[in-house]
Amino acid sequence: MAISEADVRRVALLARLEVTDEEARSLAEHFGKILEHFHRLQELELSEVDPFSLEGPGTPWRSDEAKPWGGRDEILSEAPRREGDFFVVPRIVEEE
Amino acid sequence: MPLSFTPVIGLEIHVQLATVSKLFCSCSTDYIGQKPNTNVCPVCLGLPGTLPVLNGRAVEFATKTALALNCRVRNRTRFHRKNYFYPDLPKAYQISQYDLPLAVGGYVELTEADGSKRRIGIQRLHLEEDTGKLVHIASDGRLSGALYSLVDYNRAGIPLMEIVSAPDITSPAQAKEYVARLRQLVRYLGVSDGDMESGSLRVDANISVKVSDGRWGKKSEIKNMNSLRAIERALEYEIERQSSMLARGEEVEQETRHWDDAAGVTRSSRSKEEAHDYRYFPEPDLLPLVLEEGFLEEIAESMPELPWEVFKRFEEVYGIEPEDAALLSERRDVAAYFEACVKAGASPDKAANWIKTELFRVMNECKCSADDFPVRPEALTELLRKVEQGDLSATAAKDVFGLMAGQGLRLDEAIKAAGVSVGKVSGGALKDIIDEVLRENAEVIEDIKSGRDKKGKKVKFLQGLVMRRTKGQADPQEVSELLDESLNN
Ligand SMILES: [Zn+2]
Repeated sequence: MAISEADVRRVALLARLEVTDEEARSLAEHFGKILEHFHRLQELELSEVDPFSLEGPGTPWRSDEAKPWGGRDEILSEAPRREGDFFVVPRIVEEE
Repeated sequence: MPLSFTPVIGLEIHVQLATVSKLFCSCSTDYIGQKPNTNVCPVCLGLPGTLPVLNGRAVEFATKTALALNCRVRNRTRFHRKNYFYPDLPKAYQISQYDLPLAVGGYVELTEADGSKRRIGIQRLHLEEDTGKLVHIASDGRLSGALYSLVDYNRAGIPLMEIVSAPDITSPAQAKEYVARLRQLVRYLGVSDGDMESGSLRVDANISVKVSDGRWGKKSEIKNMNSLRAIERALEYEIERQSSMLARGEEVEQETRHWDDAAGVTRSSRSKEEAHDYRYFPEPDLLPLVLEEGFLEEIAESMPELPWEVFKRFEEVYGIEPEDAALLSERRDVAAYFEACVKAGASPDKAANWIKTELFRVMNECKCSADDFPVRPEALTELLRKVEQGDLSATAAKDVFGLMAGQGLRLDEAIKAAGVSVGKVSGGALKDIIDEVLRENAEVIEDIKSGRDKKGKKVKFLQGLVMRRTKGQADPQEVSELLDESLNN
C-alpha cells in the first residue's frame, strides 16, 4: 500500500509532530513497509482466533510502593512550551 | 387532570483509591499541594516504549468495595483503551474497563425518612486511571476565551474506581443519601478518603423526567457537583427545569450540563465527551485481569464490620435511638470510640450523648480523628462516672473535658486545673444548699420518711441535686452525712 508524503504530513499534523521534507520522504517509505507487513498478516486464517482471549495467564501485579522518578526536569525542558512547572498546551476550552 | 412528573436518576461516582502509588506506575499518589509535574514518569506521561504494570492493591480495594456493595466480582476481566484526544491524558487514551468490568450487579440499601428501606442497584464497578489537571489561562482571567492551558500530570494515573448505579433513584434527597452511604463505606473500608471537596470522590448524575401522560424527556448528564448539598440542589434545579419544559410541550435535549454552585443553576456545556467517539478496544499492553483462587475469600475475610451493620447493632444491642446510632456509626473511628466507652463501663446513652455533643465539638475544632483524640475512651468513661456519682456537675465536667482535650491533661490534673476542688463547698455553706434542695423536694422527703425508698435511690437523687448545685465542689462523703442528718431531723 503506497503512502504519500501528504499522508505523512496529515498524520504528523494530527499527532502534533513537526517533520522536515526529508523526514516526510523517508517516513512515507517506512510506513509503506510497515503496512505491507501487516498486509501479509491478512493472509493468515484467524477467523477462529479470539485476539483478546481471557484465557491464559493474567497480567502481573505490582506491590503498592511509591518510587520517585528522577527525570521530570529533563522532560519539562523538552516540552515545546512550558510555564514554570507546567506543560503549556494550546487553548482547549471551547467557546460557550 | 394535571400532569405529574417523576424524576429518574442514576449516578456515576469516581472514587480515588487510597493507594500510595499510581495504577500502572510507581509514581506517588500524594499530589495535593505538590509542585506540578512532580509525580510523573515515562509511563504516566505516555512516553513511547513504556508498559503499564498493574498495582495489586488497587484491585484489592476495588474488590473489597464491590463485595461490600453485594456485587458479583468476576475472576477474569480485562482493561480497555478509551481513546480521546485531550491534553489531560498524555497517552491520548485512558486505560479503563468496558465490556467486562471487575464487578456487576450489586446494591446499596437506603433508609428513607419514614424508616422504610429502599435498594438502589449498582450496575457496575470498574477500575480506571485518573486524568491530569488543566488550568486555563485567559487574558482576562475567565475560562471562556482562554489563551492557552497549563497541564499538571501529578494526578494522571491515580487509580479510580467507577461505581455506576442503576437509574433507581427517584429524588434529590435519595441521591444525596446514596452518595453519603457510599462515601461512608469507602471511608470505613479505608479504600479512599472520600473527600468531595478535594475531588477524591466525584459525582456525575444522569437525570431525566417521566411525565404522567407517557412522555419521557431525554437525560441530562450533570457534572461539577462538589458536595452533598450541591448534588441535592443541582438535581432539584434540574427536575424543575426539565419538568417545566415538558409541561410546556417542549422537548428536553440530551446534553451535558455543569452545575454552577454560586449561581444555583445548571448550564449547558459542550464537553469533550460529546465531541468524541471513544473507539474502545482491548488494551494490548495488559493481559487479562485475573483474580487468583482464594483472592475473593481473602478479601471477604478482611472485611470490617460495615457501617450499616454497625448502625443496626448500636440500635439493637445498645438500644440507641436511630438518629444517634446514625451519628455514632457515621465514622468508623467514632463508632470504635463509642464502643470502647461502653466496654469500659459507660452507659450507652450517656456515652452517646457526650460523644455527639462534646467530643464532636472538639473534634470539629481540631479536625482530628477519634482514634488519636487526646481523651481516651477509658478517661471519658471515668469522667462520666464522676458526673453520675455527683462528684462533678455536668458543667464542670465539660470544662474538665475541654482541658483534657485541649491541653492533654489527665483527669485528676484537669479537675484541679478547672478549679473544681472537691470539698471547697462544705460546712455551713453546704448545709445551706442542702436545706434549699430539701425545701424544693418536699415530696421526695415524704417518700423517704415513709420508708418507700427501700433501695436508697431517692437519697441518691437528692445527693445528686446537692452536688450539682455545688458545681461538684463538695465532698460526696460530707454531702451524704449532712443530708442524712437533715433527713433524720
Ligand atoms: Zn508515573
